[in-house]
Amino acid sequence: MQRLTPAERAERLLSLIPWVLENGGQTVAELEERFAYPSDMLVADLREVVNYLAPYPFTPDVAFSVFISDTAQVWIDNAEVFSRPPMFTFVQAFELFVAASAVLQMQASKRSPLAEAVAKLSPDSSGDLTQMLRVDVGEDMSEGLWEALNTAVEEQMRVQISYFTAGRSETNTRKVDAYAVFARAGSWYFRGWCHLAQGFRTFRCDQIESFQLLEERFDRRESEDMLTYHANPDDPRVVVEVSPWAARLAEEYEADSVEQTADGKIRMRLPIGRRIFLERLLLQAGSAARVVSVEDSLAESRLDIAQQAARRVLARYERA
Amino acid sequence: MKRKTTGRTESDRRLERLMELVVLLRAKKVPMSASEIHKQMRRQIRDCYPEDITNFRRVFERDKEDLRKMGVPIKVGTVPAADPPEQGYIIRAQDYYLCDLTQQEYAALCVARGMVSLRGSGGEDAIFRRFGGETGTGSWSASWSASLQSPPTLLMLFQAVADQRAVRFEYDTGGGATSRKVAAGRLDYVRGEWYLTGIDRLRDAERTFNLRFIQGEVKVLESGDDGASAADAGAAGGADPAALGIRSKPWEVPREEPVMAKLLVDAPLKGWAARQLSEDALVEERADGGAVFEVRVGDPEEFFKFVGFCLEDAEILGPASLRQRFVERLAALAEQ
Repeated sequence: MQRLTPAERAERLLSLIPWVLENGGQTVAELEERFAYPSDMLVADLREVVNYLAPYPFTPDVAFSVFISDTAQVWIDNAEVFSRPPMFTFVQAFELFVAASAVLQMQASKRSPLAEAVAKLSPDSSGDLTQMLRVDVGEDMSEGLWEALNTAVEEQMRVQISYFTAGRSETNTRKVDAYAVFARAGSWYFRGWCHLAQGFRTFRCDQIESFQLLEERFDRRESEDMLTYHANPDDPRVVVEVSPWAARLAEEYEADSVEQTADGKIRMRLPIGRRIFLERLLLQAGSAARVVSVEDSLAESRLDIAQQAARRVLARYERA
Repeated sequence: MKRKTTGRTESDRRLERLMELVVLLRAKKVPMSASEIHKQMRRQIRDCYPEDITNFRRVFERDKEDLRKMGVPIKVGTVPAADPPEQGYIIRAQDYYLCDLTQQEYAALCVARGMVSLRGSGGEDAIFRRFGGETGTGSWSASWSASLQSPPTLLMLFQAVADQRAVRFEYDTGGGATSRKVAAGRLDYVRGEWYLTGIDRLRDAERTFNLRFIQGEVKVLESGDDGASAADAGAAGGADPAALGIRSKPWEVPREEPVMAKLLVDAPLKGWAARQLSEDALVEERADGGAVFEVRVGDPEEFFKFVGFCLEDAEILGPASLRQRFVERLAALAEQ
């Protein structure tokens, strides 16, 4: 376990002391685990620091008292000034508000323990956080899809979906074992074991044309982290430079790396499973994006990939 | 029992000082002057602070900053009966202690925090430590999760919203930076973007700003500074975001006089386009499987992004001016 700075030790002690006051008799090992506090350091700090704390007038009768038994159980006495843990920091509170706001947005009932907690913590005097903050992590899904996917994930059920594949501009039907639903860059995704592809795949929920929850259950496979998007490591990579105001588009493509250039542009290395993905990105961004380099494995690709795509689309307009 | 004085490192002494300082300021009912803190702290822990008052102040400032970073609210107030009047320090109970949360409420917060994360934050463990490392989730497992981008200005803007303050920043959506002075009213996260809504003092109107386009630093103005007031900020808060346009489709947000565009989408993309544009937008089904959609366009550039995604599977039929602009955009790209 890492060594802690004095400030990190103080931050932990301010939460640990109230905890021990209320749950006396926990062992040093348990406290080490709960508070990520190396046991040797914890014992020393309890004995040499906490044991000597005392409010004004610093007389022995008001001094804290720490007792560590032979079985390494810990009790603290006379520490009423730390009877409750300290308030969250502003950053912590903000993170909680964002998370709570997002979850509340997805809940049908507006009265819940989460709503009650937020009302107590809200900096708004009315306790109504929505006056200041609202978080929609993803766009609304088509009717019934959200419930079906969540049921499928929770109950380990299989779904059948009719899915539009943007990379091939085609729609096909497939059975998928539902592992996780997640939101990213404002869109909902669904990840699972695709029986058609015989592998894990990620599906954009707004590209699911129809769905059916099947009465088939599955056993979870030992697998990668299901809650994030995974680019295929074998996909070719392309380096694209975009103006800051177009970076949003590229975010949806999960860059391997992002860096800012001297002239303020954003340079990203993106996995591109199919050439058509890159064409879509470049035509969306227009003049705000430029291909810097393309890996050799995209054999037919050249740096003028955007120009080629633009000419093809232009041809349609010229025919009309 | 005597405090151990040998074998203590500088880190140990600093920890002693921080903890004792919290106890001292929390236990007192009234603000305490810096000189009194100096005296009392040295009385309790010998040599914890330098004897010289100037050096003491330097170390004391650093300690206050460290404690404030960990959430200890050291407030400034007038020392009672001081003559001449003097500022002192106090940690008030109502500011310091975490409010009473039931086990259920705490568990609900932990579950939410586990489901939704701000990229680059990572303060989760410290939050859970407030309750003895209990995550409160038991056998619960997430069926969904979300990861949100966290622009560098986000936290400061939320602070401004919470304090009903005005902020000043440079804003550039691609057409050149303009100076903005905004009474911060509320924050919204929609379609993967953070927005600030408030009264733009320089335009005397309510405006919504995408945080992505805020350039450089945000300066929080003092209340009343530059004509911005807390009342303005409060008035903007709670406004119906739907009315502000940020929940509309991006191309519907009126950046210029809106037009009704007709878009032909070929069969392969028809279903996808219908979900993006809404079923109501479909006005004609064609024999070849394609469909024509009628779309209100207030922001052509956003509409062109949508059409660009479709590649040669879509075509803007009208109005002619909008079609021509898209053709020019394509021609410019083809000749790059």
